[in-house]
Amino acid sequence: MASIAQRTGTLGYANAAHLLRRATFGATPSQVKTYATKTASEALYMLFQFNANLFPEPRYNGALYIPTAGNPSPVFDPLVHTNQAWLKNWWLHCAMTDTTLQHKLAFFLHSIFIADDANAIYTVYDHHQLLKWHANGSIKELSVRITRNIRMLFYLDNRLNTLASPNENYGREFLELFTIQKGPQLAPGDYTHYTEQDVQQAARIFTGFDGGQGTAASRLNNIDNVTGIPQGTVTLSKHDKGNKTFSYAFGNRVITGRTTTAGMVEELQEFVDMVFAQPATARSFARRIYRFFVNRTITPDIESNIIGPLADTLLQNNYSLQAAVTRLLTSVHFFDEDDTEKGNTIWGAKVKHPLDFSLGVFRQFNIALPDYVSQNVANYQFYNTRIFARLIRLDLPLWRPFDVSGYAPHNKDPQYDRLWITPISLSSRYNDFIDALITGYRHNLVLVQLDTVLLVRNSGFFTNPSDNTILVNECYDFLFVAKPQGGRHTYFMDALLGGLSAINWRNDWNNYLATNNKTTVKVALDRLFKTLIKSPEYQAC
Amino acid sequence: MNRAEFLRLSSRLGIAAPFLLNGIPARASRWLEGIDLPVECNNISDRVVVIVRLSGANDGLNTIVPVSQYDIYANIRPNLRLPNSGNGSFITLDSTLPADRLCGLHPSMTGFKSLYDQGMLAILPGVGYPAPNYSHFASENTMFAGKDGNTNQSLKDGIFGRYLASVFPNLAGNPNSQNRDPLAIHMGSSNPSLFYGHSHEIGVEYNITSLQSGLWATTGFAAQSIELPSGSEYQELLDFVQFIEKSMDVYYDRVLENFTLGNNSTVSYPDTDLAKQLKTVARMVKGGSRTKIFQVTLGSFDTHVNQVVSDSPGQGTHATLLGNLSASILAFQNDLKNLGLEDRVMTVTFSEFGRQVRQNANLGSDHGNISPFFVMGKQVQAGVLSAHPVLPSTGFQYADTERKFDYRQLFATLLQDWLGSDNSTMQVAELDAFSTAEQKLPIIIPAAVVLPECYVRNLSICNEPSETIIAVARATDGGWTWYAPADYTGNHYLLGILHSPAEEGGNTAPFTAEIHFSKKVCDTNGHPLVYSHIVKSPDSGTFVSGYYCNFKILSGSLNGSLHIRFFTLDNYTDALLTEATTYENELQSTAEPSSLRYIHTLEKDLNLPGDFPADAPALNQDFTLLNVTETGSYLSYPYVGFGGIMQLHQTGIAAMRLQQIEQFAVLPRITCRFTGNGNFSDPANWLNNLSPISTAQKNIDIIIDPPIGGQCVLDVSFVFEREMTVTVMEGKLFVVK
Repeated sequence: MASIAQRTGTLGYANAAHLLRRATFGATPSQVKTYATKTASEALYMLFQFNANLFPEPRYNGALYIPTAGNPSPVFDPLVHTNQAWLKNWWLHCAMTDTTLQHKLAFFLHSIFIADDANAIYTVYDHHQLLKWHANGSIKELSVRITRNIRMLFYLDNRLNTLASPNENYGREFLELFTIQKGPQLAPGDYTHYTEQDVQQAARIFTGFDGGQGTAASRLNNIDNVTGIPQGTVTLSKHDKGNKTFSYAFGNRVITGRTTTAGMVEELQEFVDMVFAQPATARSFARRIYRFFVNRTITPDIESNIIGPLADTLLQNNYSLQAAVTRLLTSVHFFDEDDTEKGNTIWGAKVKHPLDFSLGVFRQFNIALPDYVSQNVANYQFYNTRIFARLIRLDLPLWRPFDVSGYAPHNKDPQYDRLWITPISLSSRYNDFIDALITGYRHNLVLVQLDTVLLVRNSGFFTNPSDNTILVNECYDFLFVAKPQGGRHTYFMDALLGGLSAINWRNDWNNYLATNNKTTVKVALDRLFKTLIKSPEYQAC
Repeated sequence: MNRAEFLRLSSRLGIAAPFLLNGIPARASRWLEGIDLPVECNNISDRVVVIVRLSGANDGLNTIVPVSQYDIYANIRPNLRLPNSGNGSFITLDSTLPADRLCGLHPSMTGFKSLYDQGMLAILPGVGYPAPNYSHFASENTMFAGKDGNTNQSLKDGIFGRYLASVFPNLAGNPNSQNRDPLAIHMGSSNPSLFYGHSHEIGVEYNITSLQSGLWATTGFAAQSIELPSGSEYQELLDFVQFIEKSMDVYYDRVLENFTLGNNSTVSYPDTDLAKQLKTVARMVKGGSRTKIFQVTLGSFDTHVNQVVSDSPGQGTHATLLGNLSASILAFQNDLKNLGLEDRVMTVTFSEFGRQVRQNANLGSDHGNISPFFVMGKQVQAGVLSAHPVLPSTGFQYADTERKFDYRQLFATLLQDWLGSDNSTMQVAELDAFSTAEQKLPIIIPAAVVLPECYVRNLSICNEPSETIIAVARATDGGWTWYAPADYTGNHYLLGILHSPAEEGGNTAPFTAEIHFSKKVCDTNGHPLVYSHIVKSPDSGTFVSGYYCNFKILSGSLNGSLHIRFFTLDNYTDALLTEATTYENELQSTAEPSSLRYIHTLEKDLNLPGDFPADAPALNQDFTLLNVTETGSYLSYPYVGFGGIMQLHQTGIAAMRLQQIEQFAVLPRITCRFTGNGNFSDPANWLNNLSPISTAQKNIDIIIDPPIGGQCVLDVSFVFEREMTVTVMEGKLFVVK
């Protein structure tokens, strides 16, 4: 029986590696070793130690360019400093350097509260800052703020939702996609958890929340004083001031219409409180958290023994993402220790997310990348060509999902994460990353390269590189979920030895140590690491 | 190995998947088909080189004993020496040779003796390079890369990689209907060979090592599961990824097709892996493979220990290897002969170095410098090409002066005299210093040496824009400003710009702008709309563009976003759109296809050729996709619209194509000659039955040449296309009804 009971005791290497594969965009062996000495609870505490100071403000050609509440007038030239690519690459840089859960959870929130990146980089920036701000916060509070987020107000047309001309688009998606989600359809317009009547009433609640012009400067006129992030304007004259009566699904609840702008915000809060008080809402978030971190398949056993308790955690903690994620990732279920056969479920059962793969290759090998501030152009070029463009090939058009339903592998039953693997994306995973990284490339003269020989010699992870068996097995510990056996082991070993003997490798390695001439060992190690990365094993998470 | 591993291996080698963009077939096919070349050149396009790699470094001294130096040989190899008489003695290759060329073939090599006697074996004693390296990897890579051993830089590409990429640019990994085969096929070793490496052409080599057993297995290609804890979800996932791998491979079906269509003769091959590899080569060539280079592998030549059996130097590991080599190649040659292929195939052995002239203490030999190479085939000029290197009286290695041939002389000869590479290609292959008359080797019979007029090479790349058109604001309507050339008098426009969209972040500031369209590009490959470069992935390869444009703000500045509409019917954008849509479809499978690339050029204009270099990575800098946000029509001309354009000044837009390579494929110009008497429409009246009506192409030269007294009657309606020429021979009658 699945159990969400907390795992006790220190993690050890394998459990720590499993945790960091799921909770970060990739970890070095030394990071894994650090976590190996912690308990699951200590590990999650560390993963939630967000530090905003680690991340730079977005720059363009080295200069700050996004006006914010703290810095409303950066010196910038609007002709050239308005490029979404620089903004995305800034976010990718932050994600690359984040050793906590913050950006992973921010992306998780993005995958639920979908808005695309059209047009205005300033509001796109605000939107993603809002998601990051809530990565250890309350999903419920985010649901209030996202409703007033300028990007969202434009994306789902709520700025056009007025008393005179209601627009249900946002109200519908708020219920259907973002929060409570549909249950079985009981009758036309009745989706168990809510009805068409509730969509209409929600839309009435949302009337009058509009976005303003949303330009670089104008958006700063209305700052949320809790988050410090710009929010949309509130126009009382566009608001439907009547009472809103919800269906039986919400106990025929009536939200009294208000007649002030402050009252409009109260109505919104009351509505969100109502939706988030529903157990169905908690379960819908619990399932999505589960699928994001643990496994695509939710059996009846898991539904009752994992999802249920996790939903309770959300309800009892004001929908704290930190509380829920901590409970799930510290559970014996997450470590597959809730039954007798450890490792037969969950471990390695997920496909590496495109972000895990594309960032992980660089993170796991601890590759030195151009500095964000002092080498801003090189940094931008690196992320634009090596990550962003390739994410498209990996089927992740970052911040530009096809529609409001978001990225299919996050929510398309039953395949989910398996949809990340296609002939195109798999080919890209095999061919677009490790070869070029080993060859090395320069962006604005800054070299990015993996030196496999120095990695093996100096990383501290490889205990006895001259012994081919130890070396290859340590590579498995480093990069794989499990040690390949039989023919697969032979396959990887052959990549190192190249058909020659173990003695030949030992001599080659010792000869390298003696002469410092790495030519020969480099051929073998390059081949080994390419083979390891270009394998089904490396696609598993 | 199983099929799954085969696929994985191939991808490890960087084989591109089918969604990648195609190459330009005109270049490759022209060569393959021998078009535009004299008739006597046609046979060269079918030629194949087979490289037999003796991996681990063959002991050349025990492969061919220098008979005239037998006493020294016997003295420095007391335990390894092959007897010169009696049981297990070497085979005298040819007693008519000069003394210093007399060869004692290893007794196991009866097959080579047979080939020599049939005039099909050339022996090159003492092959090496100036600065020998005794590491297997370093030495083989030096030779694969065509270097002399003095450079210490990392080697990224190989002789054949450079050669094949030069003759077949962009074709590697991107087969098209006319060129479906891998450029080089490698088997016998799962590890990629630097021979076929190239700095940006991916997938020159196609490694079918793991396919070998499957090809010949009666049970087909059942994929073996990856061996990991059974029944786990992890295992299920690996199986799933494995399954996807199967569809990744563009060459797989084609290789199977060649194999299935082909056959072997009744020749009996030895039951060895090398023989099976060679048998596969023969069968694939028979089955229609146009792969130029096949590499097969025989390993375990690294005979440090027990190279021979104690007291029986004619037996042991080395004897087994050489016996296998010799018998397998003999069977291969006999098979080729029976299949009618022997004129097309030249086979050469390759060893990364030789072994020390003195034996070691373990009945073996250690790494040495030079070794003999062998060239086999019907078209080989048989013989022993030089005296044997002189054995040193002291020391373990041949003196540097004893190197008789540089290995690059051999490959230069094969590339030029056998495959017909011109000097510019030899330069690209970095073998031009060895393709002079003095350096090339007489290993091919003169009648089979490719004539200089038959040399082939890739076509030149043109890279200058032919025309620039400047569009300026000509009208405003509905908030849109419509742009056309200043002197244009028609009623439609190149594009429209919504200067001030009423939207989130929309621009509100006035400005004026003009747009410079750079037209054309290059038609040497026969397609007038396409710049002759290829995009291979979002950030590598080179851009292909029919047109590109640069925006210039003349006055004012933006404070927000714009919308732009391009007219799809207009000649300038039509090409962009049709040619690029597929590219975007492939690139961004979940997003609405966009036909244009929004190219931020870092405050400079987009220019040919600088921004479109011939080598990857081209435009390896800042660009983002433009998504189509609307389609519609204006003044009945359809357009596509793009919203959210944040930057205009010094922003370029270029179109990408492509995939629909067939429609761009240029059929070679042909001649239709009317030589009969009677109706134009009767194919029998045309030379070789090739009439302008029966051929589908338009670029033809029509020659009306009936016999004196006869006539050609235009009896049907026939449109003489712009691309056609019509010549009525002097004194001949052409009647138009």
